[in-house]
Amino acid sequence: MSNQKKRNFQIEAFKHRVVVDPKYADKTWQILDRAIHQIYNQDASGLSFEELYRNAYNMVLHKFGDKLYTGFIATMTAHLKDKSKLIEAAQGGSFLEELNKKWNEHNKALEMIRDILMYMDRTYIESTKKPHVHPMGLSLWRDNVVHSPKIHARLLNTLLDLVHKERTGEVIDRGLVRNVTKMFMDLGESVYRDDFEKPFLDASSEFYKVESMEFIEACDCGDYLKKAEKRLTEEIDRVGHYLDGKSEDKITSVVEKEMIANHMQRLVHMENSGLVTMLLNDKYEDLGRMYNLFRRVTSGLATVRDVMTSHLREMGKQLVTDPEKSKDPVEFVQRLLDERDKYDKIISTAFGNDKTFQNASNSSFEYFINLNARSPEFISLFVDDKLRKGLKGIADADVEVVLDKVMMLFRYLQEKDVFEKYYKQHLAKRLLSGKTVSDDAEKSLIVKLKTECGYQFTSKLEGMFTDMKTSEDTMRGFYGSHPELSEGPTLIVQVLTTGSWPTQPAVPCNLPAEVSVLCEKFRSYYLGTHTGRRLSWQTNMGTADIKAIFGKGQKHELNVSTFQMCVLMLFNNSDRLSYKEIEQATEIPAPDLKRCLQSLACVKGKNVIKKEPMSKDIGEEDLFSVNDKFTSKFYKVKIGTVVAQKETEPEKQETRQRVEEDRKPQIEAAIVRIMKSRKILDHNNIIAEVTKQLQPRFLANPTEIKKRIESLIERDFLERDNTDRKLYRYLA
Amino acid sequence: SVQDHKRRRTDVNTRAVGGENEKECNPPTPRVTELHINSLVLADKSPFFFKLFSNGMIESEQKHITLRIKAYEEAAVMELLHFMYTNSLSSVTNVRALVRLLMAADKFEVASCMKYCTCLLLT
Repeated sequence: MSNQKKRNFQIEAFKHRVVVDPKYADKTWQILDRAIHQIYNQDASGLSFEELYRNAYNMVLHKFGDKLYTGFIATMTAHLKDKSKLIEAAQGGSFLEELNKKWNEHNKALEMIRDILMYMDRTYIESTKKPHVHPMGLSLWRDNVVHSPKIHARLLNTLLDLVHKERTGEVIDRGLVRNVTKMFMDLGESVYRDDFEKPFLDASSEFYKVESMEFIEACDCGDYLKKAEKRLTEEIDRVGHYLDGKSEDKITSVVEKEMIANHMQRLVHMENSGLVTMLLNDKYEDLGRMYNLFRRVTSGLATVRDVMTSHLREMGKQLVTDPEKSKDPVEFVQRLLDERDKYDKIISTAFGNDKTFQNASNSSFEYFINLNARSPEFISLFVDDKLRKGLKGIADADVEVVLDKVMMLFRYLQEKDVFEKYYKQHLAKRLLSGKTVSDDAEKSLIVKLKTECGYQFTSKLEGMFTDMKTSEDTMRGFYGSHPELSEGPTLIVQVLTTGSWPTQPAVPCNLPAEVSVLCEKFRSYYLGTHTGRRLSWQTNMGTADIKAIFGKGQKHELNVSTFQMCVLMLFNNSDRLSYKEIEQATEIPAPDLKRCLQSLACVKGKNVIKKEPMSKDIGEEDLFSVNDKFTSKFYKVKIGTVVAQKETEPEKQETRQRVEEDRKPQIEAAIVRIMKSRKILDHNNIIAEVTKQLQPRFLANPTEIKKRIESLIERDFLERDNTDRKLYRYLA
Repeated sequence: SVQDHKRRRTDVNTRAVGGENEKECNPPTPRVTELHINSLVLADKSPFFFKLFSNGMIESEQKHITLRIKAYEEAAVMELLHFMYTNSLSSVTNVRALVRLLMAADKFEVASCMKYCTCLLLT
């Protein structure tokens, strides 16, 4: 520090020129006051900015800022009071124009005044924290013009009147209205809100309340929605044209409330035009409009969704419970698919693929598909029908589409195990009768089922395919080792692994001698190559192609079941046989035999045997002979059928029983799994957990679960708690 | 040409400062200094000049504008003009002159110069 050069600062008091003229301030202000007058009279081009600025500067500099400030306010106030009188005097339509003109003039003047008072604005006002010149000028305009008693209400009414005129179809000067609303905004958001927006919204609300009542009395739902949509767009346009952007949400919510929210129930339920009618008639456009409008209001979509759901459920319930409609399983399922397609399309085109609508549709389908206990069987039959014949000539991609749709229905099923049971039966019949159309389609479906049901189920189905393949090899081996068999009847055996195939009690029957010889040869061949196996003949599942020559030498090849073959072969030795004789010779069980004879004798065009007496049903006393007069334009005649058909009532009961049996171990497994991890659990919770765990497969019956628990207690898997009998304990 | 528009002549009309009895209404004959200035440069640096050249009053139309100042302000105004063109000072060194310059900069709202002077005065 000491080394540094020491500088001497001499601070001199700065000498202002001291003003001695006592009238200095008044005189200077008068110059400025005159100038302000001149500016308001639009005569500013002759004024010297330099001079006015210098005078204002000097006044502030010489501590007359306060005088300058109050002076400008007083002068401006006086001017605006005069302007206000002029505006008040304007007649009718010119009122708004006059106001707008004066407002523009005021703005221009205000800017010039601010320019000449620029120094005061920056220094005096800054340090005294008073309002700046520009906002002050706006406040003065607001207080002296906009809020003057004779203008305030008149201005608002004029504006509201113009809006009303436009709403009723008249053309108005939008530019003028825009300038005025812009003025409100310039005066401050609160001025716009209180002096214009709020009353505007109230008037709009009143307008739409009345209008919506008129519309709803006069229009159908579709027209009403069109009108509401139009009004909504108009209001949004109006905001764009002459209101502040922030008003958009407010005015749209007024229209939404008055035109939609207040009439929602009436609109959706409108007779002959409401939501249900739109759904029934696929009115995508109307539905889309309803969706978009209702989406805007609280619980709007819930209303639409609820009505759609209850309609869908009611419609579906009728569809699946109508006995007429469930006669043909294929048509039954096709109807379900059609309905699904219909609602898919409605949701995707009109409801914007709304997830909540998709869920509503899904839950409705789930609800009503399961109302009919036969749905699982029918869906499997539908697949069977498609895989037998329906998919011929359809491109692979389309096959996938059909199968995917069926899988959708499958997912709705609560009793998936029932479907699996039927699917297995139907697949078995398809494979054994060689009727499956496309291996690819079959495999693709199995892949889909694997993702849905798991490996456990499909491994058995895959086993069925393997058996078919192995059987082909076995047959080649058999005929290779028996070259002498190339003459005479051909036997084709399919060896089915027990367990993979649907278990059916083997129905024994007496095969014709020619065939049974072959069967014996095969048995010894097969057991010779595979030791330790057991073969039993499932004659009820076989088919046969036999050549027949009728009375006048007509040759035909008949495609029949094994049972039918047994019956027909009898006629090689006898012309005429009674029912009793046939029954004795073949030992086919009575119900099967009756069905078999019925298909041989009673189907028009396929009646290769004659029956006496002629009647639809087979009697125990009936007599049968070859129908020599049989003709057919086809060489190959397919008689009767092993095609899967809708099960008869007793068969259905049987399948049901088997399903119930199969469920028992699954329920027990679930109970053990749960108890193993939880150790102790009370009755209600265990029921709930088991039901939940089995839900993807089937709905477990609580009584059955209870029975299973008791059985497990007997077998010492579980025990009851000694004190609380409702509590179960896992025994390791 | 464009340049013509930009160029204006400004007279700095300096009034000699009399004694304490000097009266506005009876000024001594002013001394006139004529300067050529670029209105764009000045308008850019000072809101005062910007408005002077553009706000619609008489000067907006004039090519020849008169700026009246006190004699004691003259040196500071000249220095201010120099600063507006160059962003630097030419000769001001003492505190008194700097204060005068600051006053002039404040009067015409030349923010850059006000800042510059304040910095110098504070060091």
